Amino acid sequence: MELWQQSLIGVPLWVPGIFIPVIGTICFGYLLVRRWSVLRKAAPDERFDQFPSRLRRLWSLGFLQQRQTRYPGTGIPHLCIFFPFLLTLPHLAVLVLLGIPGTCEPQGEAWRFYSHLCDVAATIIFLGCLAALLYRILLRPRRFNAARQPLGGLILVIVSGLVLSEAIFRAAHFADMSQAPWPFTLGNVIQSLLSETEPSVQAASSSVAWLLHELLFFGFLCFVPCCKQFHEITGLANIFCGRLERGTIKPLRYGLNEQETEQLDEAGVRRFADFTWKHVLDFYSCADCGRCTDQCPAVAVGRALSPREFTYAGQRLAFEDGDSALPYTGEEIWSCTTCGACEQECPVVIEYIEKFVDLRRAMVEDGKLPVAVSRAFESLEQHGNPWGRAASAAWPRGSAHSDNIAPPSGQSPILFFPDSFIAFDDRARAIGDAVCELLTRTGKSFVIPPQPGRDSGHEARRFGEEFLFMKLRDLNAQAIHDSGAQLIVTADPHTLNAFRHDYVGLPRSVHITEVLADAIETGSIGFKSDDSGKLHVFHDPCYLGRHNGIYDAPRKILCSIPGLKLGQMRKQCDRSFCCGGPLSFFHQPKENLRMAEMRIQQAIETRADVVVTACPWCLVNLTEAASSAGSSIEVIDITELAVRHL
Amino acid sequence: MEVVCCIKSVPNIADEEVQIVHQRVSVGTYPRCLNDWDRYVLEEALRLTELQGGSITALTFGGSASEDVLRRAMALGADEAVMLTGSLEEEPRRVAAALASVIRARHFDLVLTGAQSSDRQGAEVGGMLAAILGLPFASVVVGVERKEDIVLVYREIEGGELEVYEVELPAVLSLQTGINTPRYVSMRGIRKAATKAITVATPDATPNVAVRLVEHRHPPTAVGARMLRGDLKAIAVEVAGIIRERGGLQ
Repeated sequence: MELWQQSLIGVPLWVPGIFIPVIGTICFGYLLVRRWSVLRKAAPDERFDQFPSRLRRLWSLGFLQQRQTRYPGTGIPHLCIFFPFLLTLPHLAVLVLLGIPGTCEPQGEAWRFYSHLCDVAATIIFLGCLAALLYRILLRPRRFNAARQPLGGLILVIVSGLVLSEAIFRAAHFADMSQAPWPFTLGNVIQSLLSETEPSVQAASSSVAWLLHELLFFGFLCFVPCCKQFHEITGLANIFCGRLERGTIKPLRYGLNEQETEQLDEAGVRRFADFTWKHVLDFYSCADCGRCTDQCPAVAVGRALSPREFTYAGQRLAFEDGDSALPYTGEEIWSCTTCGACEQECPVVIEYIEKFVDLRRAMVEDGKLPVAVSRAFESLEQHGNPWGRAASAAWPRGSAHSDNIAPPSGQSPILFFPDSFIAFDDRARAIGDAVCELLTRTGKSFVIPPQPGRDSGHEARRFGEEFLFMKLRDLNAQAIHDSGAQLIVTADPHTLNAFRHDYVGLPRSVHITEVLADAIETGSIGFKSDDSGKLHVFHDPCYLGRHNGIYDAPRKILCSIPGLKLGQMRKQCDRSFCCGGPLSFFHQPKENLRMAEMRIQQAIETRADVVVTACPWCLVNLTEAASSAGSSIEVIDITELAVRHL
Repeated sequence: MEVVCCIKSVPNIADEEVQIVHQRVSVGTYPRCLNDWDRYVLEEALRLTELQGGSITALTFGGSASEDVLRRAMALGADEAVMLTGSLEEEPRRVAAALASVIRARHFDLVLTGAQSSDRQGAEVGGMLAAILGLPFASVVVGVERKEDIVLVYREIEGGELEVYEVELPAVLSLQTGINTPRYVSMRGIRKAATKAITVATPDATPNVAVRLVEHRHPPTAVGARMLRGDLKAIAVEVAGIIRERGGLQ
């Protein structure tokens, strides 16, 4: 007798077999249409270029879920649930269909084998849920929101119930076919329990298990688009649509040229509908796992920002069709340093930086932004640097390298672009001197732009002043083209990032660490040994590492100094901890500790004597932090270290 | 409430030393910007009209070199901009007379000027303007509140004491910095304002001036100052030593 022909307490199973799927599908469909309509109302975005790269990413991050293992405690259970779940999907579909009149269960050796496999899969899922549940209950990781822990637990219980009911159904079925489930499986355990009961109980247990499964499955299906489990449906799409390059910033509005952008009534994000559809998809896809918050330096120092809560609030808004006002505060919006630690971690590649930039853009247009930031903008507009310094005061004027300032038009193959911070900061200009020294030693002839103090506009853009950035970009691009350079050397990773990701049509740009690593490779530079006996650790600048993937070049330089004692910080490479970045020079959000001070504490924990970095902002932030902590730890730039060992 | 804002374009000298050519400051080489006090003037006008409705007219004297400050005012929300042609170096009395000739021809409730401009720091135009227009005047204003036909005007005097006046409208007020927090004007806003119309007017009155600037001098180099040069750390140690030596540190 087929399943739909059976009955339970007098009700034929085809009745729930039809009604539950129909009602469940209607509810689910209604929810999807509602969610879809929010996406339709959102601002435009462009996410369908570079198809092959997107497919590759979908494979590695979506299917293989490579980021899960960065947090093994929940990542491995997640893999244990995800892969077997994919395997059992066809079985699940068959189970639903069996309640519909006229259907019959597939027969044959292959189906039976597949059923056994599903039993194994169910066992792994069950254990995965159990492990995840225990992890939540016993370890209570800080990265989960305590108030929402019960919801996470409930979802794991529902999934366990789903596989358990399926396993009971299968076990009873195997018994019908007088088959033994494979050892060490859920089916095996259940069958041995069932075998001690009456045949009538066995028959009923199969029907009850099926009904329970039907209810759980469709109940869960309708619950998914209403909670963090929506990532099961949108996650893969979000990964496919994710930004392929790091370090980029979206235009004010996709699909418009700069003239059209200028005439927009308003720009930036003021209300929910101003987010792009991809950013809404981000909100849909958040699984509330808290990896972002766990890595966020702003959270670590107690600022009024938590990326997890930021996205969760967006998700709530999206589920309410985006009709309410945005809950984000200025304090929150100006707490992000754009370091990208959150984006590095998110298993479904949710983007944060562009959202903060878009929110800032609206604040900038409304003129309501931190006073020091607005002063910096005004100075950038008037003087080309955020401090309002006169161009004539910029490095290298007055230094030994002023001869390298380019003539109005030239044919020098290499341009060293110092950017405003190196040109004007008393400590950072040592990097300028060191870069000139190193370039000269490697036998490269180079020039410095005629307005060496002009800012690249990198920060202006990330602080939300797009048209100020555009003005600086156009001036710099002209100067770079006039210099005739084929290669731009930078020492500030923010400058490098601007040239690589914000400017278009420039000659190739590299960071000085890449130049040095190449020179070491070709033997055109060598270092004498370090006999100081001091322990050195390297601090990865966010815009060198995470945003531009340069991790090896600085390490190659450090390793090529013979005898240099080298240690490692706990948070390094793509998990490096932001020093506070340029933002800390213009806005000081409320916090318990400065990020740079926390970073220096991390360095002190390694018993390091010297922190080496490769960014002028990191250099100054960390130097100040070391001195305010009263630590004797020395902070130097990698170019200075290299010059010391020439 | 109809508000006329008198604003001025000034040289933005940054940290460069002022150049003196032919006994006058050579301003031609510097970028120009809105006089700092006038940022507060525009913000106050916006604040008042946002509260009460009405419109803002931005008015400047100084020809095309002053166009940028009018664009900025329009980007902020000024409804109309009027540019009086003339030299940026014009004497205050002539500037006031020219401004008055434009203002007199309009309907207005309040004329706002900055307490002074950052270049000459004469603090004259506001008072002269009120005198020419025959209107009540209050200087160094740190607060304005509209009360029907009058405004309550707050003036800060020596020692942080506050005076509150009732001033009948129309009136001329010159505002002190700190009266509000001026909002930022985005570059896009300024670019968008680039196509808006500016009314250009030629001053008809050129009164005789009895006061003329003769010379501009740098401050004399002080005697007895010691310049510390070299390594920052060494300088800091030396400074600490000097302070201690002279009894500044116990």
